[in-house]
Amino acid sequence: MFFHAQTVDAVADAIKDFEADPAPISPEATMAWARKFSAKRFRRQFTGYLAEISPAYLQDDLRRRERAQT
Amino acid sequence: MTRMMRAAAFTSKPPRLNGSGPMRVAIVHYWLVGMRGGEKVIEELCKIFPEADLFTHVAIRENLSPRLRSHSITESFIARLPGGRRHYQKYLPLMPRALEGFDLTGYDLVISSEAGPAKGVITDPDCLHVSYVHSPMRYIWDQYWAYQAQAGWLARLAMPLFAPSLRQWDMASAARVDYIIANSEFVARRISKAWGRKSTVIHPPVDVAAFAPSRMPDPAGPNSPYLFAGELVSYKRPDLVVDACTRLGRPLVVIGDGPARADLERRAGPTVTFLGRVDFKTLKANYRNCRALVFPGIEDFGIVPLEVMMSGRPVIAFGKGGGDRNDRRRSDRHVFPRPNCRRCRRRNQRFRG
Repeated sequence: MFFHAQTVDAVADAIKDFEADPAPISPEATMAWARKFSAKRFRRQFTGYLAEISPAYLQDDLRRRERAQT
Repeated sequence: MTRMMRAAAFTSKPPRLNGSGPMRVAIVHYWLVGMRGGEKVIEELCKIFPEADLFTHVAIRENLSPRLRSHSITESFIARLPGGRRHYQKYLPLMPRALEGFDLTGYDLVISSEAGPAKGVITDPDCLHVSYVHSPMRYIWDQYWAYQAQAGWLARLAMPLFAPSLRQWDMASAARVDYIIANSEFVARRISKAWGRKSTVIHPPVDVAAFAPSRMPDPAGPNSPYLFAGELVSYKRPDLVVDACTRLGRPLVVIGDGPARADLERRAGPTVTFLGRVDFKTLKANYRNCRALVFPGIEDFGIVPLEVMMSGRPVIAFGKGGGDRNDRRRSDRHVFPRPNCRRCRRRNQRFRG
C-alpha cells in the first residue's frame, strides 16, 4: 500500500485506511512477489546480461557461468 | 552505438588481455566494511566469479563474510591515511584519485559496484567495464540537501566546497564505463539525470530463503505493533512513522540506530518502542509478527520491504523510489495509491463491496 506525500498526515491516513480494510492479508501473495527477487534470479540475469554484451572471446566463459546458475 | 556493434568492436581482440588462460575478473566496490545490501551483491558476484580479485578503498575483513574474505582484496591509499579505516567517508574528496591509482592492467572484465565512488577506475581499452549501480552518489546529487542537514558542522561547511568538483568527476567518470546496470527503475532515472547515461535494470539479490511467515494462523492481530526498520537517519524519514503512530496511539517498534535516534526518542509517545540494532533472529521475529512495515523514505531499491513480504506481512510505503517498483505491479489487494485519490476510492469500494 502506498501513500504519496511524505507527511505525518499521509502516513496516518494510510495506516487508518489499512486498518479499515477487513479482508485478511494473504502471506502467500506477499511471498510470491518477494520470491521474484531471489539471489539465484540475480545471478542468472547478471550472467545472461554479461554474455549478451560481452566480446566474442569472453562469451563462451560467460555462457558457461550463466548455465551454472540455472 | 548499439550493444551488438559495441560487442562486435571487441571481436578483433586477442583471446585474453593477459594471454591465454582463465578470464581475469576484477570487482571494484566502494568500501567493504560490513555485509549490507551492496556487499550482498558483491557476495553473489563472487559466487559467479570465484577467482575475482576485489578492489576497494577500505576493507574491514572481520566484518565480511567468509566468501568475501577468501578473495584477494586490494585497498586504496585511503585505508593507509590517518583514521582512514574508520573515518574513510571523510576522505571522499580524495577517492577519485585513489580509484585511479588501482592498476587493473590485464583484466578482461571489470565490474564496479557504485554507491560510493567505484566506477572511476581506469581500465584497459579492450577490457569490458560494467558498473552495477546501487545509486549515483546520493549525497552529491538529489539527496545533497538531506545529507547536508544531518551532517556535522565541519562537513556542512566542506560539502559546498567539494560537491561541485565531485559532481564533475562523477559525470566524467561515467563515460569510462562500457555498460551500466541499475538496481531499480528509480535508480535508472537517477543515472539518466545525473550522468546522462542509459542503463539496464537488474534488481539486487534478496535472501528470500532466510525469511518465512509465522506458523500461527493470525500472528498479527489488531494489537500487534507496526514496524520501522532501518538506519535512523533523516532521509529515511523515521520521524513520519513515529509521529503518525504517536498521534494515532498505535504500537510501533523501531529497529535500527543512527544520528536521529535521540530526537526520535524525545518526540515519541508511550506506544513507541526503540530496540536499536538487533540480531538477525530478533529481526526476523519482528518481521513476521508485525502488523505491517511502514516504509516512508525514498529508497534506491528497498530490500527491507521484500524481506518483510517474504515473512508474510504487508508493507505501507511511500510511493516513490525503488520500493515503488517493488510493489506497484503486485496483484495483492493492498497495493493502491494514496487513500484520498479517486482510483483508490474506487478500488476500496470494490474490495469492500
